[in-house]
Amino acid sequence: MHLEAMISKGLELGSEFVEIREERIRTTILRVIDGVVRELSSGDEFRIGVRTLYRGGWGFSVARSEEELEDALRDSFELARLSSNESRRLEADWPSFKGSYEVMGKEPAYEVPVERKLAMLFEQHKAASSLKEVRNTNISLVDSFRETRIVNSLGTDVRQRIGRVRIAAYVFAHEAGVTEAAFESKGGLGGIEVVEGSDVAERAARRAVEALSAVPAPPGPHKAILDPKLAGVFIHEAFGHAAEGDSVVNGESILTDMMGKPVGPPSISVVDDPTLEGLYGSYRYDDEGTEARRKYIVRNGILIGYLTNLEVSKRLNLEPTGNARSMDFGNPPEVRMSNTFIDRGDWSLEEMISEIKEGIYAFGSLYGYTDPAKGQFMFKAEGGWLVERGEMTRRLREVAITGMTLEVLHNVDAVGKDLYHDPGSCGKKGQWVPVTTGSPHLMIRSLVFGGR
Amino acid sequence: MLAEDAVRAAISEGADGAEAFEVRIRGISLSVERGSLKTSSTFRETGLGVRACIGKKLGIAFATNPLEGASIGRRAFMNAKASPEDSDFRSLPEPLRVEFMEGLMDDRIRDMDVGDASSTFMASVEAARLSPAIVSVSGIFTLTYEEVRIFSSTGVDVHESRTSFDVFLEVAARDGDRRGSGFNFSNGRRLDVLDPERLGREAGEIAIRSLDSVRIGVEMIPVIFRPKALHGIIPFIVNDAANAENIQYGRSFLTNRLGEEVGREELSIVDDGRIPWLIGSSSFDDEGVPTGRTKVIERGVFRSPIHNWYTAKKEGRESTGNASRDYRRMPSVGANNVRIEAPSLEMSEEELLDVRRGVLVLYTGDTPNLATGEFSGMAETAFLIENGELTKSLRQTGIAFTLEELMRELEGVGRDVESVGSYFGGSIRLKARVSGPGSS
Repeated sequence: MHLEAMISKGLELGSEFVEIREERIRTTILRVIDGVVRELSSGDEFRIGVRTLYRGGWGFSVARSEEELEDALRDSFELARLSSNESRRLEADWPSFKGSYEVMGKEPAYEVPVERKLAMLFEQHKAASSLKEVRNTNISLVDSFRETRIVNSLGTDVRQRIGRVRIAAYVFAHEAGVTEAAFESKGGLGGIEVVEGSDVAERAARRAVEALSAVPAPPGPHKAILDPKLAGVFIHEAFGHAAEGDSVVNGESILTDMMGKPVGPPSISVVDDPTLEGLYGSYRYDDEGTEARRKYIVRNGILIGYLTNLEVSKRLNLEPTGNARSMDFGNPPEVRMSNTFIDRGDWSLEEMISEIKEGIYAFGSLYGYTDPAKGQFMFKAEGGWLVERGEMTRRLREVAITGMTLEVLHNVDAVGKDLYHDPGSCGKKGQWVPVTTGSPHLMIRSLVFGGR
Repeated sequence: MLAEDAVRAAISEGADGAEAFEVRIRGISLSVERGSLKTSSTFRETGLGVRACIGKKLGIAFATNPLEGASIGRRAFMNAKASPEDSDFRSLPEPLRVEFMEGLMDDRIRDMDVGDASSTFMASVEAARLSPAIVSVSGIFTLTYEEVRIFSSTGVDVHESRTSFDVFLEVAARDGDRRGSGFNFSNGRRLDVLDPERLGREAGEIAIRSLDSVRIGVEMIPVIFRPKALHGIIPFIVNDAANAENIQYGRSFLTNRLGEEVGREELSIVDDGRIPWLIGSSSFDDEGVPTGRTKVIERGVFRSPIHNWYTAKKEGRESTGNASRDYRRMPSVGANNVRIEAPSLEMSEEELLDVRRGVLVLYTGDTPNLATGEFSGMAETAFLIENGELTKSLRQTGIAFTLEELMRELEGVGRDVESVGSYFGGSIRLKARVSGPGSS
C-alpha cells in the first residue's frame, strides 16, 4: 500500500497528525589494527517509523517491512490515545515541505572497492607507525549511505540520499613505562574524496608521542586558551544543549526565560547551521521533513534563538528550525543540534598567547556532557600546554574542565579568526546523531581544571 | 531459519566456516515530559550478523529486518574473500556445554502492556514531585524482550530469551534564582527489583537538596562514591583495563603486569556473568561460550584478563566467556557483572560517612584514561560532608585520582549493594584530589 494511502487511513482512525518515515541505510565498517584487517563488515538496514498525534499524545511504532505497515499504524494510533492528555493538546498546523536532496559526492563510498579503502588504512598505519614510540594503531573507516522518505498528513513529502564518510585513528605510544594515546578523525558528507589524502593517523601519532613527556595539569581555576576543537565541544556542551527547545519548554534549561538577554560579550555569536556544505552534521531536511536553515542562538552576546522541532516550535510560539533528528527511523525524532559553532572573531593565536602571563593552552577533545537544568558542564581536553610569560612551556596530560553555563561565556576575553569544524557524535536520550562542533581559538578569563 | 540459511549459504559459496548471530528484540518505551506522558512507543527489530572465514580471512555481513538469510551469508563470504589474512585468527568458536541459568526472563516484562507500563512509570514520576519547587519531571522507561540465537558451521547452536527494564528520571527544581537538578536510574532483568516510588522520591530529594550549592577550592580529602557514581569506574578496571584485546595491543595500564600486585591485599575484583537477574548476566556470551566467574584482581594481584575466543586462542588459552557483540560488528571483549570482594574493608553507612570533611559523589558520567589509569572528571551530583553530616551540594567540582590509587588506597566498601549497569556492589571511600574555583 502507498504511504499516502496509509496517511489517509491514519486520519480515518482519528489521528490529528500522521507521519511515516521510511529509511534504508547501507554501511561499510573497516578497521585495521597494527596493519592487520580486524574488521570488514557491510550491511543493510530497513525500517519504517510511524508516528501519530492524538490530543497532545504521541504514538510511535515501527514496521520491519511494507507488509507490517498497517499494523504499525494501528499500534501507533492506540499508543497516541494512551498518551493523550488535554493539557498538552497541540494544533497540528505546521508548514509542509516537498522536495528532494542528494549528496553522494564525486565518488560514492559504496562504489569504491574494499581493496582501495583498505589500502588507504594501511597507508595511515604506515605513516603512524614510522614513529618508533608508537605501540598500537587502530584505524577505522565507516561509510554510510542513507536513503529516506518522510511523508505526513500536512502534505510534506521529502526524500534525501546522503552519503557520510568518516576516518578515525586512535594511536597509542609508549616509552620508558609510560603509555599515552591520541585520537583524530575526519569526516563529512559526500564520497570517498572526503577522507582521501587525510593525515589523521600521523597527527594522532605525533600527539600521542608528544604526550609521553606530559605532566598532570595544575588543578583549580586558570586563565585559558582553548583550541578550536575543544572550544567547539565547549560551546556544544555549555550552550548548545541548553538551547535545545525541549529542555526550554520543560523548564529544564538554564536558558529558559533568557531570550533577548545578554549571555556573553558582544564578540560571541553562536550558530547552528545544518546547511553548510559537506559537513558531518549537515542535511537539507530534518527527520520530520522540515527544511533546515541557518540560525543564530546567540548574536553579539544576546540570546536570540532556541532550536526547535514541530512540537516545540508550537509550544514556544517560534518557527520550526529544522532540528528534529533521530538516530534511525526505529526511534522518534528529538530536538538536536547539527553543525553548532562560535562564529569568527578577530584575534590571532599569537596575540592571545602573548596576553597570558600564566595559564593553560588546552587542546583536543575527548568528550563532554552537560546538566542543562543546573547549568554546569564538563568537557575533557586531550592535553594542554602550560603558558608562562607568553610562552608555551610544559606539555600537560588529559584533563577535565568544569564550568557554569551562565558564567563561562561572559568570561570569554577574545575570539580567534581561525574557525574549524570537527566531526563527532552527540548522544541524547539514548540516540546518537552525527554532528560537528566548531569554533575559533578562545581566550577565557577563568576555567576550573581538574588536574592532579 | 534466518541463521541456518545464512550459514548454509556462506558454506555453499565456499567459506571454510560461518557463524550467525541473530537477535530479535521487541518492547515498549515511554517518555514523560513535564510530568505527563508524552510519547508511547513500541519497537520491534530483527538483527542478523554473519561471520565467515576462508582460511585466515574473515568477513562480516549484517542486515536489520532482513526478509531472508541466504544473501547475507553470501555477502559475508564475499567480504571474507576481499579481506587480507589475519595471522592471529585461529578458529571460529567451537561448541561448549552451556549450563542454562535461571533468572534472565521475567514473564511480567515480556507480557506487560503499555497501560501497565505507564502506571508503573507514572508512580515514579508522581513520587518525584515532592514540593512546588519541582518544576519538571522527565524521563524514559523501556521494557525489552530479546531472543538471542547463535548458530555456526562448527556446531554451536544455542538460543536464549532475556528480558530487561531500563528507567531514567530527571528532575529540575527552581526556587527564585536558585536552580537544582536530580536524576535517578535503574536497570535489571526483573521488574520486582524496581521500586518506582523510591526511585522518583530519591530523584526529587536530590533536586531539592541541590538548590543550595557551594563551591570549594583545591583539596585532598576523602571522597565517597555511591554505586551510581561507580558504574563507569569499577567496571572499567575489568571491561577496559583487563580487557585482553587492550592488553595484547599494549593500550592498557595493566599491560605486562599479569601476576603483579596492583592493589591492596584485602581487595579482589571479579567478573561474574551468572548472577541471576542482573543486566550483565546470560548463560552464554555473544559467541555461544558459557559465561563464568573470572577473578581479575585476586588479593591485590592482577590474575587474569577477560577474553573472547579470538584473544584467548591468540595466546593458546580458553575464552572466559566475555565476548560482547553488536550484530553489525566483529565480537569484542566486555565485562559481564563486576563485583568488588573485600569483606575486611566493609563499612557501615555511619563508618563510611565518618569524615571531618569530605565529598559524597552520587554521580559522575566520566571514565578513566585507559593508557594511564588516571581519572579526571566532574562530580556531577555531589555533596559536601562536614563532621559526618551531609551539608550543601557542590557545583563545578572536579575529582582526580588513578585507578591504581583506588585499588591500593581504598579505605572502605559500603554494604549498600546495588546493581548499576555492569557494576554490582556498594559505595567506596578513598582520598582523592577535588578541585573547584574556590569557596563561595
